[in-house]
Amino acid sequence: VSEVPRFAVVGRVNKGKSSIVATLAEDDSVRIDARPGTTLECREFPVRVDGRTLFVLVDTPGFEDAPRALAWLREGETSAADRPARVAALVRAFSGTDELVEERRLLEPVLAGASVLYVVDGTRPFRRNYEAEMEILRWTGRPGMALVNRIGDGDHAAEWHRALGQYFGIVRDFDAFSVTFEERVRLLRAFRELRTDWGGPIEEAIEALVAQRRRRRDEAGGEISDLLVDVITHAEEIVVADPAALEKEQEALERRFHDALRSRETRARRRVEAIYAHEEARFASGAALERPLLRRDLFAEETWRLLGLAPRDLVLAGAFAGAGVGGAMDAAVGGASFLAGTLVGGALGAGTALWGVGRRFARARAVGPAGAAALLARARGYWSGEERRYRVGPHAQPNFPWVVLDRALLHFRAVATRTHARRGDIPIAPGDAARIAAALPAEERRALEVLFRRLRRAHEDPPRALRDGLATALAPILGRLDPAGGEREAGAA
Amino acid sequence: MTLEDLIDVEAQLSRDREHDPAGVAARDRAIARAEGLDATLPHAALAGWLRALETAEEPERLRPGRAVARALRIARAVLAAAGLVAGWGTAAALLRFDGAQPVNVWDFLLVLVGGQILLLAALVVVVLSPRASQAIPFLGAARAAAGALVMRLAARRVGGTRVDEWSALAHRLRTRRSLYRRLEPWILLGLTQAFGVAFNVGVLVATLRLVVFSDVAFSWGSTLAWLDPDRLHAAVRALAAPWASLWPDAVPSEALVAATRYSRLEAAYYAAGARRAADPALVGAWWPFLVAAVACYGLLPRAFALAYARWRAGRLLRTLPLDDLETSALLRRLSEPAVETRSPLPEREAERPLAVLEPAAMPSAGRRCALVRWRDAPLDPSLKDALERRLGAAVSIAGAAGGREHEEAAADWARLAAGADSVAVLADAWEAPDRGALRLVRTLRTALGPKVPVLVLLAGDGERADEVRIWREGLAPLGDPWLGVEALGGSTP
Repeated sequence: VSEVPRFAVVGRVNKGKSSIVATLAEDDSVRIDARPGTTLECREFPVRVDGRTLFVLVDTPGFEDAPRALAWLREGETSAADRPARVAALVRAFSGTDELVEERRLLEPVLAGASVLYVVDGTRPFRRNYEAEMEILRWTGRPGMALVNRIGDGDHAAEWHRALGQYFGIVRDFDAFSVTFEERVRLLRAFRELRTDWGGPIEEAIEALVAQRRRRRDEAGGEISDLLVDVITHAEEIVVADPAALEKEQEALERRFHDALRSRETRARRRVEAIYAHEEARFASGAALERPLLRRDLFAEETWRLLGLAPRDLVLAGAFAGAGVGGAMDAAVGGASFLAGTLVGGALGAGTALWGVGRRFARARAVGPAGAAALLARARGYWSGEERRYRVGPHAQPNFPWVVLDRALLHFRAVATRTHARRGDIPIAPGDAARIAAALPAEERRALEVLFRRLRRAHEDPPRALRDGLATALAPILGRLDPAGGEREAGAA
Repeated sequence: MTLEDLIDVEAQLSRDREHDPAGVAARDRAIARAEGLDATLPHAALAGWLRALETAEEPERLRPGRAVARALRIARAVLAAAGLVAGWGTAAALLRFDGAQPVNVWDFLLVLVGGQILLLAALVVVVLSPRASQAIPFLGAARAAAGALVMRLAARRVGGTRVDEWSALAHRLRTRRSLYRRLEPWILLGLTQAFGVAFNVGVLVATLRLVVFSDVAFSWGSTLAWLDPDRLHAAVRALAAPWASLWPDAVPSEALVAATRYSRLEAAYYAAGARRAADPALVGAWWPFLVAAVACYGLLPRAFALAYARWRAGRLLRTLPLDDLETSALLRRLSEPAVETRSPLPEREAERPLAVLEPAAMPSAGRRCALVRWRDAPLDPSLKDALERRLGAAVSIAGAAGGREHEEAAADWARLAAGADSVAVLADAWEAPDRGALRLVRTLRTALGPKVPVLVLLAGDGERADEVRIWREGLAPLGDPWLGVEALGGSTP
């Protein structure tokens, strides 16, 4: 049985060891707190692929009394070859006492063969006393890598790099709170350099993680597609028996309709969060001022002002989509229509887009069955004065799918780029959030607009092909928002 | 793959959408590995996946596929029985002969051959062009009725508390144009053709019964002068062409046609004159032709359509591409490795409560204050001036602690702080009050006596209130009334 690579994440208390572990293991159950003593004992995070453990991350309590431990080690200083034994002797010597408790606990996995990931906070200045910790780790004789985390706002990374470079062969910046998936993969690749014979399992784990990431992104795309299909095609009906209650019933119907859309959006968000292994409670909690655009109501005026397509883009997208349909007709008649289909289609598409600009709420309207049944029903209703059917939906505003899509993309990006070290809600920089949809290439916007229109037309029985079409159209957009496994580099090349 | 499996796949996918995606992915991959499923053979993989789910979990879960398959069988049996009864009844009515008036061959031919040829033509149109079927209102209604019958029967079989679950699933199956949707026309065609086959069998059995067990006299007549026996004979010969060589007796002879022309005015056959036919055997000889016509134009096409519908449904099931995104995602879950990164064990709760404690009161520093630098906190002249201003006392440096060299090990704090009214510990605000810091304060208290004020002053780039709070919480367990914690810059929690 080959040895499973182990990496002990060590460092001073409150320098972000647990944050790094939470991010790398995608485990938001890790307790993260600014107070010391949050991590009481070593906790293992095995990275398992198909049940096989490929490597293990070990979260450890922080150094709390390193200079004293180093002083003890030096008291019996011997040759470099015997230093690991001296560290083991320290662990044994203080065993059963309440001294150097944290040091003993964190050194145990290292002495058992784990490589060292030494974590410091690059936003705070380097102090000489940290050398005691690095010195102890050097005495263990284990291969090590230093990670410069970012907890605060300062920037002392350069001095840390100069100091760490003297003790560790590899020094990497790693912001546990805002690191991207690709940066995580790069860090895992660097793990291979600690021990060459561990390269195989780590590479296998990376491949599985990249595949999982892509699968998650595709699943999120499916969720967003389902959301779009459902909200674009959603309609509700009531039969009003009492004419006196007509207005009230209509209002209730409209309220129910919009609530159903809101609730559908919320459900999709929870699913996307679950796909990316973010637990709902943690994701939803946090300061109310954060994530303003995501928190705002789907039908709030500001939401519609900031998200979706601007009226000009909307008209253009409508015109393009209409022209696309007209163009297909032109092609069908071999151009005999002299592009009349394209022009008329374009004009109609632009017109329908203009018609709906500004209407955020769908209104209820009277409906009835078609054909002879309608005549019968109307005649009966006329004589009896009873039972009129009202329907609200599907939402006809051309910008509605774009607003929903924009909100879904914003939420997706926030979830996909959020590390599991974060607690509370997701902050979004001002001006960073608005209108992902508006920035899409015209080709993608056109394809989506065509699908939105087809969905509206087929709202009673939306074919699965349209849902799949939406997911396919969204795939490259989500790929840009959450690149996995070298896609960004490939795209740039 | 069977229809039963296909519906169960759809239902399981629908249920999985409500579960944790990571759990679903892990479950599916575990099944694929345990059962040795090969996702490149999607039909076998999905069938195996279902079998494994059935045995591994939720044995009592809803099996809509089974319910629908049973309902289909019942519907087919009900329709076949109804067809038999209807066919028998129709033939019996058309061949009703009380001896007063012979049976008019026209009625039989028009209803049971002409009508069926028309239906056959409609069927061919529908099979060749599914869109055309939308223009045939009766066909749509018949399909809808057959579909509703199947769903109702299936719902009854599911029964009890699961009716709601079933209706939601049935809605999804029918309205989302899922995989099942492509099969539905052929299944419903099979149902209607089962009725048709049974109807024709009923007709044939009833006809043969009447022919064998009673004497039936046939006749024909026409108001049209040009429709003479020669023309009618030519027409029936043409109708009988398909079986003429196989069953020559079933082709009416010229003599038969001439002999069975009937005049209702005279209540007699033309050829026989008033009252009776000359040859009773001849007037009954139409039956082989009628039986052959029903078999050829009624039974055979229905049987062929039934076989074709079943073959098409079977072929569709065998060759379904299973390439829609949802099924593809399932196949990916089966084929791609399952990755687990979270810790399998929960984190141990903190031993000591991390409650917010009341801040200690800041004792007065007196006139002279001895300063201890903790963990290399920098002290330049300007900071010393700031300290003196802040404390209102002359500050002298007593020593350092917590540094790389563990200076405090040999420090005699009573001697170093002799003459001072108080002792201040200067610490970096961002460092946590760890075990080493607590030991220093305890050591100072022991050395200085119980009533010498010990002031922990926190310095940093704009000390944050939460850092001061953390220090106060960290030192509070010492229960020292002469211990104070304050930010050097004056910030308070």
